[in-house]
Amino acid sequence: MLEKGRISTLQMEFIIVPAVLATSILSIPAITGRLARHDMWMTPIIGSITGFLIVFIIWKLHQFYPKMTPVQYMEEIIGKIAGRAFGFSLILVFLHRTGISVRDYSDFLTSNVMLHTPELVFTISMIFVCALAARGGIEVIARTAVICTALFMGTAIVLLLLIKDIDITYMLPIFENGVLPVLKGGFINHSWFTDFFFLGFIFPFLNNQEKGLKAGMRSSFVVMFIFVYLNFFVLTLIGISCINQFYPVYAIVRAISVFEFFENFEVLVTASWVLGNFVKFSFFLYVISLSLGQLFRLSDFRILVFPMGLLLMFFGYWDLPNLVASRKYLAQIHPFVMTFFQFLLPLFLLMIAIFRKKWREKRR
Amino acid sequence: MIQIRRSPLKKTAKKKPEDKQTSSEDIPLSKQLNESLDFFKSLYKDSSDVMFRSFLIGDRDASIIYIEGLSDVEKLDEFVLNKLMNKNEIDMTNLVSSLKNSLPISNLRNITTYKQCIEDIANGNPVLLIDGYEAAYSLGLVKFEKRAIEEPAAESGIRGPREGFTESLGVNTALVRRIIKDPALKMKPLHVGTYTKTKVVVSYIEGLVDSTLLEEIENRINRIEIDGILESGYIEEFIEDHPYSPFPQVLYSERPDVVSANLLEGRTIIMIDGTPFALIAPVSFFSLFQSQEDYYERFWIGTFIRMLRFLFLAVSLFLPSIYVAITTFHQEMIPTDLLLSIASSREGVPFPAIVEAIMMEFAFEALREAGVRLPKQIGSAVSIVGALVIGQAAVEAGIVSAPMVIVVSITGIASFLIPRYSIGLAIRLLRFPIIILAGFLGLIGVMLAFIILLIHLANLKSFGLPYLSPISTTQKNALRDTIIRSPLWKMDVRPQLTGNVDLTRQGSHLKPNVDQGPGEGGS
Repeated sequence: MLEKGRISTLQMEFIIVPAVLATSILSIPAITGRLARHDMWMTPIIGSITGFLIVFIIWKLHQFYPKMTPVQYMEEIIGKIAGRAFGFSLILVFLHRTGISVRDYSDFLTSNVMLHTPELVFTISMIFVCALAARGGIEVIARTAVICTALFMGTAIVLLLLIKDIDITYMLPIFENGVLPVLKGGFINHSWFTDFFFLGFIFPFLNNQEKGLKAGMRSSFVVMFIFVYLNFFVLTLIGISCINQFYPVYAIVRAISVFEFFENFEVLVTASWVLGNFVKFSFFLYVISLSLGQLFRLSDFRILVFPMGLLLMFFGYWDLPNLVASRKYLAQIHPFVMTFFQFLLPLFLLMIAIFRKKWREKRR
Repeated sequence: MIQIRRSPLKKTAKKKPEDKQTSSEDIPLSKQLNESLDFFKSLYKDSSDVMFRSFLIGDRDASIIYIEGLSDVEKLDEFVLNKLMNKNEIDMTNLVSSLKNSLPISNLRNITTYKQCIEDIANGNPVLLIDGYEAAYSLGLVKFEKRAIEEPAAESGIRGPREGFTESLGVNTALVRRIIKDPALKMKPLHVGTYTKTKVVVSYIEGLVDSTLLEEIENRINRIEIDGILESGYIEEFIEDHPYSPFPQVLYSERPDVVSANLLEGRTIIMIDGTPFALIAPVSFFSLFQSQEDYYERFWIGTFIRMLRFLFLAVSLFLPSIYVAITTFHQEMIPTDLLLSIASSREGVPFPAIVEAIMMEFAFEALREAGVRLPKQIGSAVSIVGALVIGQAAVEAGIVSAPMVIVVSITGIASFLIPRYSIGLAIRLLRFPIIILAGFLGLIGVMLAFIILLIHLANLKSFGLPYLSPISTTQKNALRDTIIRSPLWKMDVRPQLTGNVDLTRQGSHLKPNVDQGPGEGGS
């Protein structure tokens, strides 16, 4: 066993929620709004169906192979060679998508918070810090996640200060263009919800295995709720024009002003958002290093953490010249890659696993 | 680079080097008094404080050895010499039994080796040697000058007992025993230090404490090979899990009530002779923010003060760096009026904010240290001069800005709010690297510093107990006695430490309920 730590289900929720949320809240209504227009607030609800499904699929797979992570049981299910090949490509996908998330994070900071600091400074410092946490194993990530996520999610409350400014009529008419745009927007959301696939890397390390499914479903619901919450405020505050913003959520946070004193929450929100990103990246970096260690049967995954961190950085800057290209990737390519690797792949694995079990029973 | 930390236990302890004094002494006493006396006299040559008194019991030679100032000479004269020299009282045919009956001393022990004799003499027990016997008597007449029980100076309070531990271990154990009367309270003696031979007592309540934890603590203490133990800090540094961490992994207290409360929560206490500070292990980060008065006053105020402490922990750790970050990078964050006043006061200041902050923090630390270490009369002079020079002259001369002085002084006040001095020290140290990070990366640097700190804390363990438990380990009832202080009748269970022990502290449904009447309340 590469990982001896055990975490509680609550800690699992504290890890997985920011892992799904942290970078997607940057672009959330901007991408889905382009497709779903003023029905965008419904898209997370459509997308969350995937979330619940994935949690269920991963949970079923976990019950077939209770002590294994997806990279490990893949070899058991589809054979050694194919399993390892898929495992390796999965790790590459993880590296790529995490690299792009880190890039998103640095892009945001350098274009909004500290305009004169080179982007690479944020990337390197963040990856270094995440590597420190990832080396500590799942327990350390979980313990830091509890406090970081609590602070990260806590700042979501400041949006309530906007209630006096919202205009519900921006949401009308509902279903103006039929259901199809909503489904399209839901598909983008679905790609974010496929991140619940990462639960497969936590389930084996739970100290209370029975409660895993419930906790997974609950975190999927929490993520959906927060997406709807953000979409609602963005839509009712700035309407459909939010699709022209790169960072709509940031834009509405900047608009908070109560008594001329409760202002400038954007710095507070950004600071806490850094914490959320830290949880996400450290957990993803940990998953990448751990699965690579499991794939190559290493005795310790810790030696992989810093090299993988370096790779993450390269993947983030490779082939993405600027923010526009990165947004295009997120809207047009990312959903399909994620659907294949984080939704269809586990689905197929589950089907084969069930089939194999039935077949084995029949032979007996 | 991979660094593998070995646990202190794994380091194989070398065999204790036999020092020349104690090598040949574990041999039985000689039957001849002269031989024994010669031995002791050569051992204690050039030691003017060791007294030898030879006399006759009946017709036998006898001698008493004691150390001046450690034994009660009056009682020795009255109850020992007086009786033994009175021939009528001693039955020479059956000397042993008549000795036992004629000496009115409660703590009278038979000892047979030189080593035991030396130990007893050093502890202040006069040793009675009689010619023709292989055994000596240790007379429990210890009496030395000690400080009276006073109010604890380092942990004062308004409500609560005013007794504090003293330098004498016997007094300290008695103070604890007076609070916890159950025989389950155990006190295991250990000895540490080749020269000081300091007595260390490991105290715990049987049944509440995890036995493996106890074993681990004893092993770690037994592993110490040092010439002397002068303070609990010596022990602390040798038994920590993470010796390089700036955070204290063992708590200390000089209050018997705090020690008893920790015993009742299933922790282990290490009391050391010669210091009023007892060590408490294992502890978590959140127990460093508890003070005894949280429990003595109403729970609302206890909760409020706890939260205040956490707020001011953040202030004392981050306020100077946040100020540096905001004035250097995020001016837009400050409301315009405030920004104008800050800008006008910083106008003539020749230094960037980060240099200013580090300078002021250093000056403040120096002032504080000067105030603590100097004699009281000079100390107050230093602080007045320092406050005048730094607070007023420097601002008027335009070398530092007034807001920076305010920030530094708020930080200083905030660090005094933390009830445990040892964590305050850690925070004082950590402030400087955070200021530097803030100077380079603004608020992102502050956040990165926070994350690094959090990772470090998440890695820490105190005797197997995660340092951030119970909140970060999301245990049941984690919030009950950490950030808030819930009412005593709600704290039905002890905090979960290591191991599986019974956690029930009290009956449930203890909430006072007048309507139920006195008879039904405690079901």
